Amino acid sequence: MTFSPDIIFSFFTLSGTLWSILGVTAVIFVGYSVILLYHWFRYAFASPLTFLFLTIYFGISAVLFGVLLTATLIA
Amino acid sequence: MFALKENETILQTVRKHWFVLFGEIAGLTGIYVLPFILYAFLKNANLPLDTLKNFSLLENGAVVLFAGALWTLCIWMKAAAIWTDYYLDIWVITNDRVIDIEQIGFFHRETSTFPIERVQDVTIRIHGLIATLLDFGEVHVQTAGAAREFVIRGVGKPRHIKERILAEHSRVRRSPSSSPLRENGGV
Repeated sequence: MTFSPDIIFSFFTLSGTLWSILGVTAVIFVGYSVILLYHWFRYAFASPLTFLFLTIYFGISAVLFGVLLTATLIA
Repeated sequence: MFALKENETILQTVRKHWFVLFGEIAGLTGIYVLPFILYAFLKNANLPLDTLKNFSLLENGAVVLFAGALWTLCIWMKAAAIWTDYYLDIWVITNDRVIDIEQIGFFHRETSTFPIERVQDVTIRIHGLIATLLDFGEVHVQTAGAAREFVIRGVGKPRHIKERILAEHSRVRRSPSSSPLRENGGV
């Protein structure tokens, strides 16, 4: 008997599974970002570098979430 | 971050050398590309038909795109943590003391302070070809009565830091009354 990743999707629809993963990822990302923001504003002050870092971090994250959402909608 | 005393001024803020950050990011990049290499291998390898059927999800473009973006997001979040760790891990040299702030992950932060006048010995260690060429290494500071040695690893221009601490130490020892903090009852 060989393992097939398709077994996972025999219980759920592909689209539903991707939406679930996307939701969990979004929750984890928000929690993680709150911790990150806390550290940056608590210890590194609200300097221009902090804002630059946060812009890059959230900018690229937004693009990646956009790709995730697009892939989920296509599926 | 920390409160400066009255008349205390920051002389230098010391961070790890950029190569230390580069090394960590390079390692993370290596981990990042592994699944893509594996995917390319599975796509191009002439595997038996039965094996390919078990991985039919690899043929679904949306799933591949989703998995790739999810993996990229995970690595991106880890990279942000590495950068935060690097940026918040510092030594601050003031005209009266050295403050060692060590950030270890998100939930472990140590702040130690030692007065400049209690410095007994400053040692630098530079290991290896790259460290020698790029001028980074370790600075060890031994203080009188301290329970431990203060160490900062992977710091740029360690000689310069050593000279700075020793020069400030000499200044404080030469004229203790000139220390602005002592005039104000500090330390």
